[in-house]
Amino acid sequence: MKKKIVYGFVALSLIGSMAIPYGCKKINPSNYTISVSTDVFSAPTAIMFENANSESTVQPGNFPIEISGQDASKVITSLGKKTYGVTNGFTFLSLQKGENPTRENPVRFKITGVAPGFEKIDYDVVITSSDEQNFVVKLIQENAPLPSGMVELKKEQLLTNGVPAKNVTFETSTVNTGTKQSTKMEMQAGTVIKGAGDKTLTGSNLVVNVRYFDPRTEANDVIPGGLSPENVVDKEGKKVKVEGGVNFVSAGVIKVDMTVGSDKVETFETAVDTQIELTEGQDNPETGELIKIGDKMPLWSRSERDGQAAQWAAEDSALVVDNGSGGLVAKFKMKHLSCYGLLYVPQNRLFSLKFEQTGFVSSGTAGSLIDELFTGQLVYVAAYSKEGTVLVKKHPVYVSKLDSYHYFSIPKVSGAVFKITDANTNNEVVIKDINTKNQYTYSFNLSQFDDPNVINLSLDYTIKCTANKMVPTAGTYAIITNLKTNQRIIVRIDAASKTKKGGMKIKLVNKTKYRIETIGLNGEVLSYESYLDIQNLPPASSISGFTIDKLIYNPSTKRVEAAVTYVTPKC
Amino acid sequence: MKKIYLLALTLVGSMNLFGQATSADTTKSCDYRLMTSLHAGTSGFGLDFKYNCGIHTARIGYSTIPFHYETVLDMGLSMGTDAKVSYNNIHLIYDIQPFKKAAWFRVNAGAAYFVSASAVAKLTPKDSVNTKIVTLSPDEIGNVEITVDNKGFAPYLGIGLGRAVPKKKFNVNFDFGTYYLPAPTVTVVGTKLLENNAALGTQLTEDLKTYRWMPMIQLNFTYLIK
Repeated sequence: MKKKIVYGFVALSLIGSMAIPYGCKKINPSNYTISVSTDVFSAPTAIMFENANSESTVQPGNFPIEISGQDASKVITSLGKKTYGVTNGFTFLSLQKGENPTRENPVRFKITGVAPGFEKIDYDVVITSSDEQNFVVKLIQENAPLPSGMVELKKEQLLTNGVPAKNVTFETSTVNTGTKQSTKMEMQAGTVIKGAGDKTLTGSNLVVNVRYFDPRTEANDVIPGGLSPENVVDKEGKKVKVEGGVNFVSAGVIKVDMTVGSDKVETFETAVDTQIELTEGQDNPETGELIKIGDKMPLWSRSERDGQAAQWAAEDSALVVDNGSGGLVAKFKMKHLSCYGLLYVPQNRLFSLKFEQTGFVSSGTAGSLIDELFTGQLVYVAAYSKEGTVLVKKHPVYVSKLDSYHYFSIPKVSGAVFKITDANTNNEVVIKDINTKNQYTYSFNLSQFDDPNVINLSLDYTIKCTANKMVPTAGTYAIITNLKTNQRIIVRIDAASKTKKGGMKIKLVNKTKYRIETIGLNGEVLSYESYLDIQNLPPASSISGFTIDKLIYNPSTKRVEAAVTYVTPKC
Repeated sequence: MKKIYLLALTLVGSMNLFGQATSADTTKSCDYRLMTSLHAGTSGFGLDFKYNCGIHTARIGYSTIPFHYETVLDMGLSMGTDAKVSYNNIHLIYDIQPFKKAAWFRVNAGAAYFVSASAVAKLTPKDSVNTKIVTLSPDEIGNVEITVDNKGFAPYLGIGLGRAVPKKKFNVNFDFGTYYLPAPTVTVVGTKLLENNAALGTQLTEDLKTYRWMPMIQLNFTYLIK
């Protein structure tokens, strides 16, 4: 009997010990997936081309652009190509794999091109990090009202033997132009006018175009080449080096173009007396002191010679004098064309802006849920001097995570104001005084966005082959247009791998019609329009190649949850 | 180590108690035997020193598993896998012969401290990935290292077949049993484009939490020293 017990015990133990490994849940490696990030390009960059006149409904459409400049070879499209173009007013660029721009070693390139119905584009792009970048390029529409703060003089002057027979004056008007400042040029009788190659022009008709750009308006956005130019030299022709790049602070810019017949005027044998009227209360942004009679203001010129890269170069300073009616003008001698600017080059200071959302905290929601509920918000950040001079023009920032820091290089001036605008509503939501000399970190409370009409949307976006297989994609963008206000915003769509869906999170306004556009794998524009009403969401369906797998409103998270699949035609 | 020391004291102490009880019952003390044995089995190979008194035997020893293999796994990507397994333990096990007439049958209990108990797998993509925009070579994609770690204190229970003490100088016997290892923790560290795989470690830790039994089937070659 004892033997039987022993044998039984042995048998059970053997079976038990052998069976142990099989008693557990079986692990099969194919049930686990390795996620590959396919966001391989550096600094994904969305550039929006927009009519500088915010009153206009006409926007740039499709047109080719060229990328040039010192780092042009590093720039590719978001589809990895080297042929650049704008689609529906947008272009999406990236830097080549492995590029890692920094403030000390930025990537700089120039965008040129012509959008039909708009003036030539000439925009310098400076990328200082490998993070996502957004830029807005403002364009001047031809034969249409100019943007606010910009005034133009168009005049023709008869010449005798190629020279003015008497002293002539070209002065911009201050009547019904939206700006109080005028610009005046006095050309002496007998001034010899020269074109390219120092050729004396002998035509009989001088066509003059003078433009003034008010420093306290959005006219600053259309100053040729922008105020953060790539190519800036001092009087000796040496490159001006400022940490973080040159950021001009304008006290007034003019652009003067002249032609005689078909020849562009480049120089004058006798310098043309020029004066730019200063805005009331104009200060020296570096000292904060008001500009007064006898001061000398830094003057820079920008040449656009055919075949040469445009360059801002330091000129002799402009002298501040009384304009005879209580105001001040800066006078200087104009020897060549075409842009002149009263521009300060303060040392830059890197600011960190921290975005917070305290609205959820005060309502008692757990802190960890704040980021969960906050699905991202596009804002425009701008900085102005206390007197209103633009220090940093409206720059789009996508705040994808609360308590996140965003960095801005801002001229170190005596005092400034940050203004933050909600891209959805265009409302100014935060204004904050800043001390650019001593304080470098500022926190902003975005509780203003906690509007009951503003809802969160999270979208899973998958591209599949017809074989129903997920396609790995690089990150791309969606352009979301509020069809009520025509306000357009750009949202990054995360990359998808074979195993991970891409997607985006954003805030939208309820009961509003939106158009969502994105670019397919073959460069095709994919477009979808829908009226967003959380109480009456459309059923899941298929629309123009998209399959809406899920579209529901989850009241507990205050979020519309959507899942969309696009079956690409060429796989 | 403190736990092993306490366990050793307890086992040796209990063996002495058994010895005393036997002595009291039979009015004669047992013969103490000292043995050494080489072992090989599922917990690796190693060396034991054994101390016997009648039906009680205590053994202390060291086992190691150096193991290396290569394979290809399909985890969304075809991943070449280079795995290294390293299990090293110091163990202290008490054997008792429960049936007087069955000297070939023993019951074992004890514990081990696994100085290392890890499996490290380095996974490298076998093929390029085509994103329709750019083709990424395996070198550009990077690699993932998955580490499963069960290091720590593990109790043991089992049976033994074959005499604990050789009749002459040598004998061969077997052990069948299992260790109960600490719950494994899995960490996943990726490089380059595989950096975002840390969550896989959490998932594997959860799925492997019941993988704590380490079966032991072991062959022992024992030499009687005295």
